[in-house]
Formats: sequence, structure tokens, C-alpha cells
Amino acid sequence: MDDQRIIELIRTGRDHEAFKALYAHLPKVEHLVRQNSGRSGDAKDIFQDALIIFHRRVRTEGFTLTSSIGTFLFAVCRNLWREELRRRNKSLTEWKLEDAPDEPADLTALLAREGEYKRAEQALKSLGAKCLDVLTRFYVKHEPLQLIAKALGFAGEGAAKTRKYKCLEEARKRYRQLVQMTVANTEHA
Amino acid sequence: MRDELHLMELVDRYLDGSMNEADRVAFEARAEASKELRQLIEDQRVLREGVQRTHLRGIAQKASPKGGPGGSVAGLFAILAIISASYVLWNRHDEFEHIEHGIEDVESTGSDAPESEAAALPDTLPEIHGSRTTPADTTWIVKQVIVPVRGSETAVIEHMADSIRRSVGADSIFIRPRAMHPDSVRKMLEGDRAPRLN
Repeated sequence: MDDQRIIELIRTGRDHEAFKALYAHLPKVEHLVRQNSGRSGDAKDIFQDALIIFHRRVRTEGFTLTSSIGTFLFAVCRNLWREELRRRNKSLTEWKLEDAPDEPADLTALLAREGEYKRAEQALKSLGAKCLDVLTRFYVKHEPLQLIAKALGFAGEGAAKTRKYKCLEEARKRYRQLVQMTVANTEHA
Repeated sequence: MRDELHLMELVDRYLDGSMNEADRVAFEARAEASKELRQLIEDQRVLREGVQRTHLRGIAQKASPKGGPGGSVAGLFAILAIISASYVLWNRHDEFEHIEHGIEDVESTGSDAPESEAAALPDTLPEIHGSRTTPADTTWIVKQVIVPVRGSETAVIEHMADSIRRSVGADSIFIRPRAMHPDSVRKMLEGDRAPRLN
């Protein structure tokens, strides 16, 4: 499937189809990871991150494709994997792949917030399925409150709204805790 | 609604770009003056992205190719965590036929260390040379835990093995997570010999 078609799929909300096609780029990433002290499971994990990062990039206003999607995904994975190895305190001397010259220019900026997003995800997941459901319906699927209330058995729009913000508030509290923990760990190290 | 909740709603409208010009200017002025509000806006932006990502992660997982032919090592869908008192035991399998009863399937996801269950072992243990294992009251539990997982979940196995190692002490138990091809797993379960760990 050509790149332009994949972007179109993402723009029209057909993420599953788009991702499915993009998995064609996974073997190359698997090779990279396995060459550099990782397993194919690790490769799949970072590849999923890369898909999500790509998705965000497409959603960004004024996005145009400057390299092929495959190149982009590979560059993101290479960076993520190097970061992961650093996190695991693995020596990077055996790093077998140098930065390619085709690295997207805005990659550093794009990956700078990864840690924060990861912690946000972690905080959200810890809330439980119902909160996540409310928040997803609201922020991702943009369902009207009335529908959310009906689907999830809240008394009404008001109740759904209150629940949504309470969930968000709790998520923020946990997110803050995770951020604090990370800061403490970094200072410790 | 409480004030904080109302504020979060305002932040949503701001982030959505759905405020009218006058409200937006006023809101930005308010943020300019308040570090807390700026932090709230930033946190809420990150959390909203987090909701999106959690959702996408689910889709990415579903869209991921399943293991199978052509997937090479990535295609492995079974990972074996083999936990035994000593690998030597496997080589002396004939003396430990009952060990096979220790095999069981367990769910992989989110499970903690599997409960150790003393297999029916003989009262007197055979002498085992070259093993670092020390027989004690509760040791000599030989158990294999077969955990079917997909490639991306190796972390689960490693985590599980780690927690067992921690709880029993790495010296007294030999734990080895091991990836196996599904066919080998089947053969092993059907066959009469446990695979040799090396």
C-alpha cells in the first residue's frame, strides 16, 4: 500500500487498516533490535510506539510527508531502542547501526515528550476500565455526553460529565506522582 | 460542579480551540498570571494525548500480525518458562517420571509468580553431582510452567522469572525462561522426555 493511501486512512479514522499495512515495516526493525541485544518482543513494543508517534505526526497541523513512512518508522525505532538500551544500562559500544543521514530533522523534538506521554498512559491505565472508557469516548471518539451517559449507565449528561472530570482529575494526580518519582530517581542516579 | 472540575472544562475548551476570541484572550491572560493554571493546561494536554495513545495502542495490538509461518523467530507464539530445581534433574529424567505431573498451563498476562506446588517426590533424593542445589525441607520442587505468550510478551515471562528468583533465592533454584517453537512444546507435552536445558 502506498504511503499516501496510508495517510489517508489515518486521516479518515481507519487506523486499524493503516496499522495493519504498516506492520510490513516491522521485520527491518526486528532485525535492528535483535542485532543490538534485543528480542523480537522488544522490537514489537517499540514498533508500536513508533506507529503511535507516526499517528500523532499525521494528526499534526500542516503535516507533510518528507521521507517515506518506512524510513520514518525505522528512524524512530532506532532512537527508541537506543534510549531503551541506555535505560537498561547496556553499553552502547556494540551498537551496530550508526545514525542514518535520512533521519527526519524534527525527530528529537518529536521524541522529547515520549517519557511524559508514557507516564500519562501509565496513569490512565491504572484508573481502571470504566474511567478509561469514559475518557476514550469523550476525547477520542468525541461521543456526545448524552450518549456516553446512556452507554455507561450514568444518570444523565451531568453525571457523565462529572465522572469524566473526576477520572481526569484522578489521572492527573497519579500522573503527577509518576513524574515526581521519575524526578526523584533521576536525582538519585 | 466543583471549581476544579469547571476549570478543567475550560482547559478542554481552550485545548480544543473552541473558545471564542474574547474568552481565549481572557483565559490566556489568566494562565499568564498563574503557574498552576499553566501546569494544569500542560498536564491536561499530555493526559489527553495519553488517552489517544492508549486507544491507539489497543488498535496497534489488534492489527499486529500473529505468529505463524514465515514469521521466523518473531513468529514464536509460545514461550516456555521452565522452572526446576536443577537442570540435572532433567537429565536424570527416568528417575523423576512423576515430575511430568508438574506441568500445567497458566495464563500469561498479569499473573504473578506461579504458586509452587510440591510434586510427589521420593523421600530420599538421588545424589546429584555438579548441582548447586541444596536440598532443604521445601526445596526439590520441580515444576515447569508453560506460558503461552506472543513474542511481544517476553517481558511478562522475564518479570515472572525474576520474581520467583527473588522469592526463592537464585542459588537454590534454577529458573530459565526459554523460547520454544510451538511444535516443540507440543512434542514435549506429548512425549516422554523433557527437553534438556543447556
